[in-house]
Amino acid sequence: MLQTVISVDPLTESNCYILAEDKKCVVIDPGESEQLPGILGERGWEPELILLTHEHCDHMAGLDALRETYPQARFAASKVCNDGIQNTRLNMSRIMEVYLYFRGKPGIHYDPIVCRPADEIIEENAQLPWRGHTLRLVPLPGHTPGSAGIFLDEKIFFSGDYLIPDEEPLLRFPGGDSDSYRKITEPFLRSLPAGIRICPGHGEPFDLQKK
Amino acid sequence: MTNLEKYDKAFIRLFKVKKEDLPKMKYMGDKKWDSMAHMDLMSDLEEIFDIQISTVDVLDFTDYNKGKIVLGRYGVEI
Repeated sequence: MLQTVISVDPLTESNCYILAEDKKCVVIDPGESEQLPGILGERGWEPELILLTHEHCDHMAGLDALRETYPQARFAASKVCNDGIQNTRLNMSRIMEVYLYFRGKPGIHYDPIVCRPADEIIEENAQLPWRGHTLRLVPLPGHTPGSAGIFLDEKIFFSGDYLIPDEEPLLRFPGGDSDSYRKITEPFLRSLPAGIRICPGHGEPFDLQKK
Repeated sequence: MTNLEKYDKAFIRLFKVKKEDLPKMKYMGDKKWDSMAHMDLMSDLEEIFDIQISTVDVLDFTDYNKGKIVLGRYGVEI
């Protein structure tokens, strides 16, 4: 039976989602490296697959530490996302200190980071079978070039930094693109069915209501 | 292109203003120059001049003219 745990990074308030089946798990957006090992260790869960909703550092800062601890885990990403995680401007780590200051968290030291390349480059709209489930990626440019939504069995949607409760999508970071958002991502998000479980990159999951 | 031309070009591209408006521009003094735009501007200037601006200096970069002084700390003479 599928189990889900959310780990929230207290600094950036980003969500890391862990989906587990038979002690093996998928990790979506390992944004920090302090809480995650404990969560996995306590439960005896071993990551098999790591995915990102996008390349920003608050969603992947714990990626390399996770891969060090679990070298068998496969990190799969699209080429554009993979390029982004290796660029301190596109992954936002270069300006994270300033961003945290503007978000009311001054005085935080945040070193620019890059991550090792993905173990596997996948298509932007890849479908990945995993332990009787299907993870389907949908490219959703706008917030970042490599942003993607991830469906789990078409019932749960990991939306990254879209559909965050009470927040408009941020399209003005380096690599942000309001045109792509308007033409591709916004129509897609509007097409999501009512009732689908939304798991955003920040904030609480919720069931989508249609207006 | 001179450093001043590169500097001005960054502002003009980002804020879509005319060159004659630049000397008056201040962070948060204009609704276009908000925190998001500030981060964007810093990012652009870092790339244009191949420098890394510290957080302290990012926060000290409060207007168009002060910005020239800040960049001077990184060897960029404008």
